[in-house]
Amino acid sequence: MAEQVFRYRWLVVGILILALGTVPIWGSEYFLLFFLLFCLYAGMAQMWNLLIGYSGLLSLGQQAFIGFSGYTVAMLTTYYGVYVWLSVLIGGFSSVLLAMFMSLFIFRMKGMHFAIGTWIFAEILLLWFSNWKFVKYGTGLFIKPASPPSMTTIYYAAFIAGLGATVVVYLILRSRIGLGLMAMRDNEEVSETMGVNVFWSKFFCFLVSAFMTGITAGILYVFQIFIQPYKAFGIDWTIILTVSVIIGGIGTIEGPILGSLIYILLSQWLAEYAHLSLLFLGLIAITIILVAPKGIMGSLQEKTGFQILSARRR
Amino acid sequence: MDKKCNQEGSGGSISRRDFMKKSTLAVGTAMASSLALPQFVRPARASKRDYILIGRPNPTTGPLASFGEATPWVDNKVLAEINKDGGIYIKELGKKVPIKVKIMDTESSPTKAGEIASRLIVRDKVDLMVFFHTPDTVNPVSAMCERHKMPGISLDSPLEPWLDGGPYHWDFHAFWSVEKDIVPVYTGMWKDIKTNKVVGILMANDPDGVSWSAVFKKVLPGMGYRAVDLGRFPYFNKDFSSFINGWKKEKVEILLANTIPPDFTTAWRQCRRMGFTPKVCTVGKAVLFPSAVEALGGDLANGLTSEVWWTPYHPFKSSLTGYSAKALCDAWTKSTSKQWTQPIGYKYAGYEIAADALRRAGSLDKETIRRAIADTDLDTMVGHIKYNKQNYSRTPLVGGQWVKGHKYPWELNIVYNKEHPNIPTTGKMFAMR
Repeated sequence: MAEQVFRYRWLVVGILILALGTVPIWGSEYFLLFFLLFCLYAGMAQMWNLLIGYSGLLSLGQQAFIGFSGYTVAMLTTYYGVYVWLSVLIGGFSSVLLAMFMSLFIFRMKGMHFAIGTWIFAEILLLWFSNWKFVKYGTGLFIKPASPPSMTTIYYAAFIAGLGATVVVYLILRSRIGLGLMAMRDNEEVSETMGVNVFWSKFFCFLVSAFMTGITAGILYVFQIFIQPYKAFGIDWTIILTVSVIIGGIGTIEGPILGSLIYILLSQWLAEYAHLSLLFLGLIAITIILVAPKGIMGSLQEKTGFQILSARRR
Repeated sequence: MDKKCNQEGSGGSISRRDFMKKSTLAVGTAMASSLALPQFVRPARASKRDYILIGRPNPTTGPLASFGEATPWVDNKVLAEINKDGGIYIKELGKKVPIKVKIMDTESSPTKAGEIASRLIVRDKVDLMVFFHTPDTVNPVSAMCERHKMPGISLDSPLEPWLDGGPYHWDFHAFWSVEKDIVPVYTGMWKDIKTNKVVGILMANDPDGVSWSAVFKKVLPGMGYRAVDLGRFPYFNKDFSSFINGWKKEKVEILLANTIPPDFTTAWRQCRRMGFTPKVCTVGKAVLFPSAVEALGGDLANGLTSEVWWTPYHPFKSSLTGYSAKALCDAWTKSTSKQWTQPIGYKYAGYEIAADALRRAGSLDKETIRRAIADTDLDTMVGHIKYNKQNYSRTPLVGGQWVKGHKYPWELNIVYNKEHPNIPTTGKMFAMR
């Protein structure tokens, strides 16, 4: 079964992409909303996974890019009347600039220190934005483009971002950098002596992750309309991404996709049952860590060889 | 080692440990999917149904939970009253149908509130949204109502941050304004006590703290007050001694605060410990709820003043049953054994406005409902509601002072009502020293 799936993987992948790409045609309004959120969260989870699952960079500060890009979009569209999708693109590039600036400091750190470093940056940005008169302090900004895009348009943008994030990860992993990353993840010192440029590989992934996270977050806030610093730069984002990736499977391409799907399903369904949602997500994450530490996809791959998108060449 | 062997050699026989692992995983997955899938796969309910559905995003958990506390008690009570004789006549259905409500938790997060509101609109196909409690709930949900052309009724969130999202076409809002209501009520209360007019500012670095301090610093000098502002402080600050020493040095006699309850508790205890007791201490937000006032401990709450938007002493009546604000609070206390809180009246009023608009609309057509809401001219539990061209209606604000109570440890007296003399005072303002 696993072998067969792998043989016809491009067909499976093609059908999935086609199905997702045509949701506005066949799906109800709710399907559109559901898969819109799914594409956005999957895109961001994919990028977090690129850092932790392949580059060994534990980032607790993805919210720095999410908030920064969200605010860039808000300021450009609302104050300067910039075309909304152009401002989303600028949001992505501004995240890269932010990542470059951050890396001046945090790339001198390793492991836990790196993780805390990214988190501190996100907190600094939270304080900065909540004390900045131009963005109305902590009150928040409404994102009001001159011609507000329809849900269908936002969906296509989200679809492109989610698909784009997955394609980017796949291409990186199948490239020379990807080989180096995997060697690095398994043993950094040995890989360095074998000629892998550890610093540049990590730096490259960090920038790519910042860019794609920024783009995705920009689209998210175009959908959300309202942005406020305490949640935009809140650690909640990293918790959501962590839970999604852990459930789906760290270090697999399918993992973040499956994890985000489960997260969105649960969060949509559990919102009717207050108090339960966080408890339930926590329980699932703990169960997965105990029972299948590699996540659903990781364990499936290990036990049955089931895999659709392989990072390795066979 | 043993464990490793087991995993590697799992080709043939299954060990007990393996079995447990696999079965737990299977059961877990099955549970998750059985819980989630039916909801997800079931097609969105058709719009032909024999009830009216109101969407209610509510901060049930998280930092705003005390605002959301009286849900679903108020919701159930008021719906029972509306639906008592069959509900509301809807022309398309040719009969009276009851109102039902779908309450969903926003976890006090604006992001989640936006997602929940969209879901209520596109999946549950609600006919109307009713929502309350702070900009974190009201702003994102209003924005979603505008996007999806969904009539919305919102209350209980200061006007200024809400107006930023305008102009509004579909959402209608009612509450007070910081500049036009809070400032006159606060400074009006201070006039009752003879002071040197030096005001110390204790405000957190959060949306309210930042915007309130800016407004007060702008208007106070023109009113003859001198503001001593030593800056914003972060949540859960533990040491306020530099603030307190600064106020002592400047001979502050009026303390003006806007903080979350735990921060005010810390700051106020330190004030008293360091021998700083102003003549007046007026606190926004932190002392709205009796639970927070009680948590101050000792007699520290005695004489604290605050803004009051609704109490059982307000002379307002239900447009549905005619019973008074006091009767509503008594019913709450009777069934929950808890002291009344201010959001109760506002929650109730939200449904009054909805029921009145639906009755006049007599239809589930969104535009007809929207126009009916716009034409609202109703005496509700929180006062008269009549929306202006910008889709909002200001509700009355008076000043209150916490005193030792008879029935409860602390009770709130209305001590200032100059702008709204129809709301009676229930006590006289006194100085704290």
